[in-house]
Amino acid sequence: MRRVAIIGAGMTDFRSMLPMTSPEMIRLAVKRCLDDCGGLSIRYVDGVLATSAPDAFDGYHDKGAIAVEAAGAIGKPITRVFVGGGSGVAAGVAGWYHVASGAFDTLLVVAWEKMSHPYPHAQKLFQTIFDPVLEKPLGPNLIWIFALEMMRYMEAHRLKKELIAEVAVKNKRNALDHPYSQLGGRITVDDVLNSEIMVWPVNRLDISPTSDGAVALLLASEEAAKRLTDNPVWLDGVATCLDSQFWTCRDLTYPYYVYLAAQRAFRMAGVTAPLKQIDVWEPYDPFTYKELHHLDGLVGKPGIAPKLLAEGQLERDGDCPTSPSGGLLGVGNPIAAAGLMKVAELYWQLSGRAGKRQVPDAEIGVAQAWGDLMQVGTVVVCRR
Amino acid sequence: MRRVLVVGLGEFSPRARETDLEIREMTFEAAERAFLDADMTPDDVQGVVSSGLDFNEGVSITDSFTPDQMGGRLKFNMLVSGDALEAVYHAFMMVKSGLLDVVVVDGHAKPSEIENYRDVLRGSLDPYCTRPLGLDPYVIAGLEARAFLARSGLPATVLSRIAVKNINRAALIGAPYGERVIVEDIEADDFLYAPLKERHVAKFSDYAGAIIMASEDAVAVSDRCVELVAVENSGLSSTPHFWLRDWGRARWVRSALDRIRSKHKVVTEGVDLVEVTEFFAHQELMIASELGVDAGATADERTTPVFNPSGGCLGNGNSLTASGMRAFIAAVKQLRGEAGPVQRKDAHRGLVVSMHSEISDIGSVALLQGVGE
Repeated sequence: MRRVAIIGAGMTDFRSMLPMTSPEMIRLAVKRCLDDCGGLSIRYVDGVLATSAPDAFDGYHDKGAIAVEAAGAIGKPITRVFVGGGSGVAAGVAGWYHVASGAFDTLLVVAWEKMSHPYPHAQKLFQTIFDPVLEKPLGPNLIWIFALEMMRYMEAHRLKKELIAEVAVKNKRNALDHPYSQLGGRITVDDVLNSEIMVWPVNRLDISPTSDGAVALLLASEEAAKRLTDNPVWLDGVATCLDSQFWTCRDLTYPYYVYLAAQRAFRMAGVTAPLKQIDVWEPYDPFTYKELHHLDGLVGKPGIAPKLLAEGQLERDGDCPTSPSGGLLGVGNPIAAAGLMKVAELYWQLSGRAGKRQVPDAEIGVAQAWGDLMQVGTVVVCRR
Repeated sequence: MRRVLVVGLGEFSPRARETDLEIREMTFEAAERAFLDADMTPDDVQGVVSSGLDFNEGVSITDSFTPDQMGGRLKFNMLVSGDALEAVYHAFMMVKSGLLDVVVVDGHAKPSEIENYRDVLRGSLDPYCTRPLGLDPYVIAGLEARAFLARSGLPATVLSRIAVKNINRAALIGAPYGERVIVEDIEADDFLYAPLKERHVAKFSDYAGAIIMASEDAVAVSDRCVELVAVENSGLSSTPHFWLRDWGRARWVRSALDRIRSKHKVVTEGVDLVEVTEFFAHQELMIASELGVDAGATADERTTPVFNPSGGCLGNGNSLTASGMRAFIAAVKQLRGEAGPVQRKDAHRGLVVSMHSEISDIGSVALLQGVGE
């Protein structure tokens, strides 16, 4: 098994109504990624792995093709992977086996999302993800089902909204230090609690924004990495895990699929005591409670995340810093690109280039994303 | 690196219109047959790689709906957006890298439930420059066929000879569009997209296929196993930017073959058969030409390698993104000696060449051989 490194990263601003087309966003993210590798020419990249969430967002059938020319992939192998919201980190997983298998020495991983195309709001298109026979006739939307899950989580662990709201306060504050963030800001718990109730118990500030944006990473084999950089970050553990599509048949208290994916990725990376060994955590946080819910799964202890939050351990200077980037709540949530942004954050943190966001002495980090019908967990573990 | 084997396969055979089962039930049947064929249960498999496209299935995030049918709950999962041979490509890398030892790969499509497929396919064209023209996207295939004939100097009747060969072969295995025909029958058809006539264009078929791939050190190797020596993918221009194409050529085939030779250090010559997803008759010729085979001779039953012994898409139908899976399984059956009336004598090595979609300039190539080769 060959070792795989991340040797460069680049991204666009995450914005609502970003005045760029999808190809333009991809091109800019790729350019910044290659610039990050010392101006490496695309000619030295063996292939491209693309990811983007539903075709409906771009109104484009088979939209992986958008990336061919925009990412400079003409004449190179290119495929697209896609597991809903889990796509960004899944692309890290898929990128890993592209290189580890020996098929590629260098691989560009590109993620993008253009959520502002659907007018007036992307939520309408999310109604097309449900089972067409059993669920769609009920007219559900994502916020409804997340409200169910949040309620269950609060009930099971006897949590108050005030505590969960602190995730939004923390992540938006962290995002102030992210140069590409959409919703960095200083807000209070009261701001979250007093924001519009979307579906109880979800308030507007519990939710990440809809965003446009793109992210690119360059992966390399160990040999290529030695040739191209002095500061690689190693992608040492990868996994995905999917639960049943019938989400109504599951206990929503605990993301068991995230737990299984994390266990597999930790085993691969030689992580035996995650809370002690991992320095940077980037759990998927499209909603406030989801950061806690996912952290429970990553650590493997239901209900531990709210305790760590209450103790202040999830702050950047805490023992278990989560979403030092600002996460989806602060940086923004262009679905597939948001997950890859989290992997990029690990790269910047572990290579010591995260600027004001830097977690001191970070050696090992984990990024996780989640998606499909509340059923898939995708996890990568990186090491300095 | 360890060898990757195909250890099981299962199909819900192609049919013009499946009226009893819905797409997930078809997928279940194919997977169940694959597990039986491999003498495995879903517990033996560590992951699922599915293929498909949202708009073909009328559901966003279509991968959510596949693994349950394939025993994939709480296992590794990945969807590859495109043709099923691209999913095979990903599964191959997963096993080669050591990430997984045993994985099941899916291809499924039910075009009979799509009311407006041409409109869906038009959605893959560039929204600024091409889509507003309101073209039937199959016009692109007509232009491509015309360019190929001009470039090769072959007469247009060669298209009918390909159709005759594939449709007659399909008749031998009871495929949905198989019939006994002669060149004059096809030539008498109306033009659909000149120079393509009615039976130069594959009609739709509903189909599901599943294969189980494994590392050789994770399974008991039998002579029914087939080695997947290499699979590669290449894209030269994308569907939306078809003005970038080298019209009348499938240069991605040559590019993928070059990668197979250079990366895997294997020769691609000496294959006994080639299964191709020829959604249009000229595509088989175009691909043959890139493989270095005299395109005009592929219509000849006695040519080696033999092209599309299964009857290809013209005989079995266009199963959209599952077409690559049908072609792949047809090749595996040949190498196992289980292809029934269309079995080629002494079939040891085979190629599968599958396009990303009917009108794209991207595709994948797989090289297969018997385990004892």
